[in-house]
Amino acid sequence: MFTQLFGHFLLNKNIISAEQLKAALEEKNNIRVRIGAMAIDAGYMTAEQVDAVHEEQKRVDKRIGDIAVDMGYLTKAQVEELLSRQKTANIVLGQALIDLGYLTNKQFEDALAEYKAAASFNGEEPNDEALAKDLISIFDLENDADKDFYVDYIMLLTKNAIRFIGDDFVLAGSIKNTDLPCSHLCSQELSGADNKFYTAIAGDDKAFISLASRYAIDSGEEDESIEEFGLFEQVDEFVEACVGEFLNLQNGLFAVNMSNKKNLELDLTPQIAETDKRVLLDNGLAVTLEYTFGKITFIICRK
Amino acid sequence: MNISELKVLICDDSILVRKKMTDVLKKAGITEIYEAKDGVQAVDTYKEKNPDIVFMDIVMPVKTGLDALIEIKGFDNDAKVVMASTIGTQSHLVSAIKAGAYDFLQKPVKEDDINKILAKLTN
Repeated sequence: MFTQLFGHFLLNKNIISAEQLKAALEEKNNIRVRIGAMAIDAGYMTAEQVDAVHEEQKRVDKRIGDIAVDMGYLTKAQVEELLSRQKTANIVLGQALIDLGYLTNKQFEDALAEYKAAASFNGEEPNDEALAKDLISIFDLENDADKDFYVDYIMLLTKNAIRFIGDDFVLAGSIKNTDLPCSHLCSQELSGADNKFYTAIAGDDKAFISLASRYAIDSGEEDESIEEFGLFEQVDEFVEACVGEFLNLQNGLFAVNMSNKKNLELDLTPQIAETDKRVLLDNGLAVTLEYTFGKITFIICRK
Repeated sequence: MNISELKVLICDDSILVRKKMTDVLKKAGITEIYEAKDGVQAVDTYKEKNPDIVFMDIVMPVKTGLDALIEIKGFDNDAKVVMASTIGTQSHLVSAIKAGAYDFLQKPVKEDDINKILAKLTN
């Protein structure tokens, strides 16, 4: 999550350009360190156990380490040890920017210090409260009546995007009160008590295809099925279904969180895929995740 | 009855989910597999094929999985219908069981969970 926020900061302050950030995010993928990979490396877990933990993460909004403890694969002490090693992963984006010659060590050090002075979340430990503060500021939600709802939703969305699509993106900001042209759109409604929300994922051909293929492959779909369908060359029913399933996963986990935390029972409608639509953001906002493969926009509106 | 002899109906509006479920069932040796994309197709296909077990998504267009379950139970009280939902909350589980569901699965569905249900059914 640090990368997404720190990247936003670097762009916002014009410290680096969007192209430089994109290149650094791509480079970063080559050096990213994951808890699962580290646990295998340390001999604490087998690859099958890591797969099982990743599967479980689709059902519960928890961190990999906590799930591994719940499932009896790791002890708390082992998780602590892996996390302390992973802290270095927080500087991977900076490392990539320096390696590519976009920043000097000194510039990176200064930017990091300035970021840490301004932001609440410093990336050193999971802290939802600090994250919430930063999200409110990034998305200008302070005076929004649905502030809490948006923050909960965007926080989970960012986590799910990192977990199931990849962490090579930054939170690029949001727009409100406009109508948004969408070449591809996949939507789903959430409703419960007096609340009704419209949620959607929008993107162009490349963004939809990339999102779908990454989600499907992460779900263990890479093998026969993909060959059988001859997939991910154009936006077809299968690509739309994959994007729809990611939206459904996000909304399903969000509904479980709301039920647990706020005692609010939400129901979901079937996902609808459409092309060439304009969405009126009358009472809601659109959050753009700027991935290395393109822009994915999430729309959340109160109906 | 052997698992491989089971007649199975999969009801889900997502082609991705139907494909995944079909792969798991085929791997378990099942050959007679039917698919439905919504609640109406689910009821029609049930009447026509009389499957041994149904995997039914709750959130579907035209007619929801819960409505389809109630309708199927209405004319075949012995129908074995496993409900699947992304929302794994207690209230969803309770409403599925109250409506006569055979079991409940949280999505994304795991291969292990499907195999356990198939084993329970054939034992």
